[in-house]
Amino acid sequence: MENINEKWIEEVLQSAKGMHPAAVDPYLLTGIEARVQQLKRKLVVEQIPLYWVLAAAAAIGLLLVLNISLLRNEASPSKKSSLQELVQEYGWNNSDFYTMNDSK
Amino acid sequence: MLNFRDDAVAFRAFILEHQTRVFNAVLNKVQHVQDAEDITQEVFIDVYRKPEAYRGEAAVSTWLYRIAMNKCIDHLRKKQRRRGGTATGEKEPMDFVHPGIVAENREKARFLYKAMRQLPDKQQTAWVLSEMENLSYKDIGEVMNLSLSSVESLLFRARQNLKKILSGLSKNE
Repeated sequence: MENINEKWIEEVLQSAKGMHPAAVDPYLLTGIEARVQQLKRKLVVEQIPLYWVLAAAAAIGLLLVLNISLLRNEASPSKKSSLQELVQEYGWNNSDFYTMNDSK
Repeated sequence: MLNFRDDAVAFRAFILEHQTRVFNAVLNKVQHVQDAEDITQEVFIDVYRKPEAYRGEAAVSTWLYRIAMNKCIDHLRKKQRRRGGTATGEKEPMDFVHPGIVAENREKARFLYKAMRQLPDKQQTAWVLSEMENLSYKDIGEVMNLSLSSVESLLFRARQNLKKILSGLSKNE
C-alpha cells in the first residue's frame, strides 16, 4: 500500500514533464503596444522642464494681477488715472478723424 | 543595450521572441490565465521603461525570468492579503492545470499544482523554473540570485515538501 502511494506521488511529481507551451493570446502584443503608447505620452509630459512650468505659471499670475488692477480702476470712475486724464485732455479717445479735421 | 524607445519594430520582435516563455513561466507560477497575461504585459512594460536595468551580465531570458518571478511573487502576496483582508474574501483558486499538460497526466497534474500552491515562495519558484521551465541550476541561481548549492537545497526541500503535501492530499481525496 505504501509502495503504491509512493509510486503515485512520484508520478504526480513527474506529471508536468514534457508539457507543451501554452499559446499566447494574440491580443497580448496589442495590449502591450497600447500601454507603451500611453507610457510615451506620460513620458513626454514628464520631460517638460520645471523651469518652463514655473515661467508659465508666473506669466499667468502676472496677467491675472494686471487684469484685476485694471478692473478695479474701471470700477471707480471718480479716480481717473493720469493716463486717462491725458487721453481726455488731448482728445485721443475720439476716433473720428473727420470730426477732428473739421474742428481745425 | 536594450533600449526600445525609438524602435517600435525591434520591441515588437523582442516581445514576439520572448512572450511565450515569459507567459508560460508566469502561468505555472500564478495558475491563472488572466493574471498571467496581465503580469506578462507588465514584464514587457518594465523592459520598455527601464532598459538600463539589463546590464548584460546574464542572458536576456534569465533577466526576463527574474522580472517575471518577482512580479508573480508580488502579485500572489497582494492576492493573499486581499483574501485575508476581507470578511467575505476571494474564493480559493480553482483547480488549475496548465493547458499544455499531456492528456493522460492532467488528473495527476491537478494534484501537483494544488500541492505547489502550498510551497513557500522560493521553493515554488525554484520548482517551476527547474521542473516546468527546464532551466539549469546555474540559470535558476542567476534568476533567483542564489548560489548553486542554495538552489540544490531549495529544490531538495521543495521535493520533500511536495511529497509530504501530496501524501496528505492522496489520503483526503
